[in-house]
Amino acid sequence: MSISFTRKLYERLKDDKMSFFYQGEFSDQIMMGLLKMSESNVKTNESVKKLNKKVNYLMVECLQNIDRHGKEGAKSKNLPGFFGVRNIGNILFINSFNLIKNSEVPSLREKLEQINQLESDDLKLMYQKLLDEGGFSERGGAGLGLVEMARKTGEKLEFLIENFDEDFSRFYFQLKLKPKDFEGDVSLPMEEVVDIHESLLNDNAIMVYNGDFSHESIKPILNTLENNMRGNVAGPKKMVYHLMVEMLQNVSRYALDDGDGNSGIFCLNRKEEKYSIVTGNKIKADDISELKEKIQTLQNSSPEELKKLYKNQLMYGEVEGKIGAGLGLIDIVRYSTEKIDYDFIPLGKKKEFYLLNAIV
Amino acid sequence: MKKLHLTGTDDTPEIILDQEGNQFEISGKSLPEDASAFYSPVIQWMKEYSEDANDETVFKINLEYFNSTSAKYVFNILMLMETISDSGKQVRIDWLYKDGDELMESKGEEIKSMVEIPMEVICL
Repeated sequence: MSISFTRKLYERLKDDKMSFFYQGEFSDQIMMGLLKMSESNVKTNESVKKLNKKVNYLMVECLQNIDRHGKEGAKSKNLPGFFGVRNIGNILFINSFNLIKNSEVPSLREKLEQINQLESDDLKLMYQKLLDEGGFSERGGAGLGLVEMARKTGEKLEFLIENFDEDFSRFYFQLKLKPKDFEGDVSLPMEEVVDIHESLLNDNAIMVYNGDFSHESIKPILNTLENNMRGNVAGPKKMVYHLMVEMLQNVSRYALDDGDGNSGIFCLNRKEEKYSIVTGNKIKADDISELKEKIQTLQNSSPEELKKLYKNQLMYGEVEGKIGAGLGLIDIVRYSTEKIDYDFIPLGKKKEFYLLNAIV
Repeated sequence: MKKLHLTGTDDTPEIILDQEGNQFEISGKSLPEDASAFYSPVIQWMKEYSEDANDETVFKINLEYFNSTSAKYVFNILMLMETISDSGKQVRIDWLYKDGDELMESKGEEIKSMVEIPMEVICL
């Protein structure tokens, strides 16, 4: 059930300043989109803004590794790669998962363990040595990349390798990046990465975003998904895009800003041949009854009635500034191919968490 | 009237309003954060234009996508076209959509059923 999946994730991620996860194909286009998304979030946060160049490098390396080494396993075992970024107290964590060939495990483990033993001067020497030795095979690059990751983060490279079957193993990887002169520390155990990955896997999640829902923050999400669907101007995917725009922009417009910058959560899951979209955001408890009434009226209307309601709103609805004319919600209800689902979860202090699920 | 030309962006459409050249067009994507701020000069221009319109005005709408807040303003533009028609001038709306784009086709048909001026829903 998509709402409970989103709710559980939200419980886990609500103290993050930002979290983003993606599971699926790693084409060039998708990687560009993921980069833009993560970048725009880093850039809008004062505390981690200066890390942007480093973050960019680390993400590119990470994404290319997932693609390069995980492609085969993804294809043959239908177990795609996974990528995530989390900002926890202004420390950035970059996670990945992909299958790797069992034959590659010993050398990978050795490289990582070796790198983790070295201090920065020795890492520099190791980098130089690898560079001099050349050996730029397609696989050879991974040695340099890992060393650079350790150098740029100044932290251990965290990883977990578990056997999957006779051909492949599961490879979980995590980078930690602290702003310069940062006081304090946060640790994210690998078990957490595994848990989140399994959760996304079990619920066929394609994308999860948790954080700020300003127009600037949601634009790259919509652009990536749009590019993903481009070439398929055909019916169904355009409808998915439309509902995503409406639902994300509704969060953007109506979410209660607590001052913690984190206004909501968005999940896109595959549900058989369709897509399930869930958004969640805080709202004032006072606003619930009006919203509930609106949703229930729409839910109980026939397609013909919904069309009439839409036309009526279009003709006579009031528009004030950013506030929509209620048209968005009507479109969400009428274009959802299954009955929309919603829930309100009390948060205390006269606030509630409003979740909405559409299927298209 | 002075020509109004807005270049399209990631989330706002291209707008061409040219009385002299007899060209009136909206194209691209429309999903601005603040639709009111974006469309207000467009509505303003159309209001002024409607007071002394050309003998024939064909408004071309070639939107790849538009969100629900944009819909309100697009509709308002069409209402101004009705005003022009009421003043005795000729008007027509050409609503263009890409082959296979069921969303934009159905939106076009829906709007067509709401306006009282000639409107063509055309598949590209």
